[in-house]
Amino acid sequence: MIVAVAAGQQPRLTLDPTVPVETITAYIVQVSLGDVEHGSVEYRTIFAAGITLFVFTFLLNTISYRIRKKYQANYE
Amino acid sequence: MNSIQRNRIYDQIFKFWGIGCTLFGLVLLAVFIGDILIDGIMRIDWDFITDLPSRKAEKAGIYTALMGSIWILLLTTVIAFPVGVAAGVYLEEYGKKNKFSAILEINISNLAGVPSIIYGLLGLEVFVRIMGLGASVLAGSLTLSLLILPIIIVATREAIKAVPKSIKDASYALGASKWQTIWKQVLPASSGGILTGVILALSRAVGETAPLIVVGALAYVPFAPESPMDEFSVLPIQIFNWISRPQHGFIENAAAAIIILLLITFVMNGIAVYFRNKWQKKLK
Repeated sequence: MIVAVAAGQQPRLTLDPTVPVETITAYIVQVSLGDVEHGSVEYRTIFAAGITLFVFTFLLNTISYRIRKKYQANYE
Repeated sequence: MNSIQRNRIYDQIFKFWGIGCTLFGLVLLAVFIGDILIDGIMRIDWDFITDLPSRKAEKAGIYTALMGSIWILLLTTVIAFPVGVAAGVYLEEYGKKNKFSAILEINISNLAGVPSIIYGLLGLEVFVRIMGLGASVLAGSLTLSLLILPIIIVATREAIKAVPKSIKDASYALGASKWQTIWKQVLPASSGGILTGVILALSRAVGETAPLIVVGALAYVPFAPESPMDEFSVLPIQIFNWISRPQHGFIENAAAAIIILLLITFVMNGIAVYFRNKWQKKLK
């Protein structure tokens, strides 16, 4: 959400870090701010975007959990 | 120059690099707060707090957003505190160490790392649509409760773990049942740690914007909520809304509202630190 303020809200595909972009969170917020009808394409799209984001964080969390387990075992 | 001298120099360089990195964050924070104070401090007066939102920057106030935040804070506490603490007690005292508890543990730490917007989507589908609560204070509070539950559970478990085993053993030796031991010994001894965790979790909840926007909190509500089923706005959403306006007056308003939000979180964190210190003294 913080990045919605700092990184701008302009969806574009670029590797240039100096131009405004849009994060998944910012996209979901932007769509939610409008009137989203239940069952419409927009409504489903924010859920699809949310699942994508969830998969990313789930992978990162699992990796960090694995690393933590590994080093805990080594110390004990 | 021999290797000992060289290593000492490296040591010094690393030390100053470390000091620089530590100060970097603090200085940035200080600059940010100073900037906000310069922008907003003149705008804060009693009228700013008690005025309803307005299209004119000079007349706009944060009354509805502030009341919304207070409603959300109270309801979230009422929902998340008993559930989170009970779950923590179960996992620490009753839960057996097996495959099931390992899966629960992975899931809880996973939930603590899920972006808040996902909780917003969950709340939108489950609370707003399926349970039919609408974009109400209650739906928002339930969503934020889910968001902070993992934090409260983890804090409760840590606090209970820190209770010396001798206290529990003594209680059992005197013939107390498990329930009596937990209720009369373990919970009082760990209450400071639990309260600290709960307050820190709540101060995170009060600053959340994204899940509430998804749930359907509005940027503009004409009246403060009067029941859990009313529409609402909260301070961060009000700030977000003001920041995205072009007029300079609204930037001042946003800065002033940020000062008030910062005050609320500082006070809450201060209370948490107070409880932690008190609790640590008691354990020693």
